[in-house]
Amino acid sequence: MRNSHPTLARRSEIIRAARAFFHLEGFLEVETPIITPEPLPEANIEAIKTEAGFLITSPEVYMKPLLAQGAQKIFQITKCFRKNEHGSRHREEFTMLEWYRAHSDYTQLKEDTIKLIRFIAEVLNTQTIERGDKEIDLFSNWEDVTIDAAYQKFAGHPAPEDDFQFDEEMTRLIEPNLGWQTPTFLSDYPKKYCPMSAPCPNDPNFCQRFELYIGGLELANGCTELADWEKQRQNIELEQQRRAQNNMQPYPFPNTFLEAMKTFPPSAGTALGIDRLAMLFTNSPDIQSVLTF
Amino acid sequence: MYEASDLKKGIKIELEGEPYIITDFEFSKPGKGQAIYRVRMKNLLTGYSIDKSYRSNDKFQPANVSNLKLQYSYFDGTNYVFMDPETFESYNVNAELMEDKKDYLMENMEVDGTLYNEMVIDVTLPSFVEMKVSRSDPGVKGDTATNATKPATMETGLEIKVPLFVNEGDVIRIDTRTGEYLARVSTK
Repeated sequence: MRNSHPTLARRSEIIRAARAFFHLEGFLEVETPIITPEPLPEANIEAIKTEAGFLITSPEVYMKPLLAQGAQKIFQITKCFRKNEHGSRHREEFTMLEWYRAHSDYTQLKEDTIKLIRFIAEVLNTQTIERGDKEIDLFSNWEDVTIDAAYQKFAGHPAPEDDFQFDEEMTRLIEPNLGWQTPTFLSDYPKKYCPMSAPCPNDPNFCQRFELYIGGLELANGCTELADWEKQRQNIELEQQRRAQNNMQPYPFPNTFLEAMKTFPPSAGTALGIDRLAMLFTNSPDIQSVLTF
Repeated sequence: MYEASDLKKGIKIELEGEPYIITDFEFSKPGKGQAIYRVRMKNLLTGYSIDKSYRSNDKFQPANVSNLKLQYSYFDGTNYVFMDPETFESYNVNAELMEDKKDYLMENMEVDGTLYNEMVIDVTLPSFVEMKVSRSDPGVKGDTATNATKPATMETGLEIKVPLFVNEGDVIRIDTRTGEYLARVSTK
């Protein structure tokens, strides 16, 4: 590989800057297993099964137990795998940046995210992200809209009850319109779409979960983690049932995870797609351009 | 049967009793949400395009569409009759479908046909045809401006513009996609 490859050089700088940011902020970099015998069930994400176990769909299954063991601020950059996800912004194998804070909530994570993206931009010597022929300002105040306000604005009605309508309109009407002036947080999802997130204090039908969009591209997902152990167990069972209804492969029940979570502190965590971040800082419309092969 | 995840550009599917070809395809998936397959497809009967969104367990019947070589035989007053030169089976093509193409048809001309459920739904002409000029007034003497043209009528009734030097009885080559004169092939 030529060292002069501009996109790969920039990708390398982005990863180096992200690492530097978290070290400066006092986070501990951790490495957790890629293969797990007991993946966390999610109704819309399918793990790839190997002879040795399942490939992780997110490092959550190991990073949260580290918090339960007493870790305070941890981050990781790791490969994750999701079966049958392939498109101009998806690959079955992709790179995730995930960070967690004990005794914290999603408001702090949004702050982390803003500081991280601005830090990377400064390292890259830019104030903006170019997306197509548009320029997105990273240094004015970022927008933050609730799910309901976004559906109201772009679909003309509150967030729909029906799951397919919710996702179909999300990808067709909402997402493409988010994050064109400044990056935009989409906040407070209906409870059923965030089984592992804490409820909003003012309305328990919604959860403290956000997604970050820049130029219509979903970049990160973060939430205040659900700390109530019994609710976690119930919601995991619920996700197992939804998986069965969706004809997805059965997983062993994640007993090891749940056992470890008995000492889980109130925490918050974010997952950010490194490939997508590289797409944004290189103005690449297709994920393939930021991959080596 | 196709599943939504099998769909891609060029695949032909049957929808509400009509054949469609997929012209654009996009996989999208909102954070933690279900996969949405967004499809643009063209109705092979009407030519109109539509956009649809599907979920991963949606299933599709492949459209029974195939291509074959056909030879033009004759017009029976209602239909244009073509023949499969291998099986000698004949196919009627309604006049409406041939509206823009009929003036290029000559006996035994080979064309590409699209079959849907044993019915010809599209005919693609060869890109270039050669035809005899049956009528064209002589070019006006002295009118030598470059690119000067005059009207001419072909043996099939097709009317096109030709250069002034083309005479009745000449054979010329025509681009069927643009309807433009390309070259004189032989002269009377």
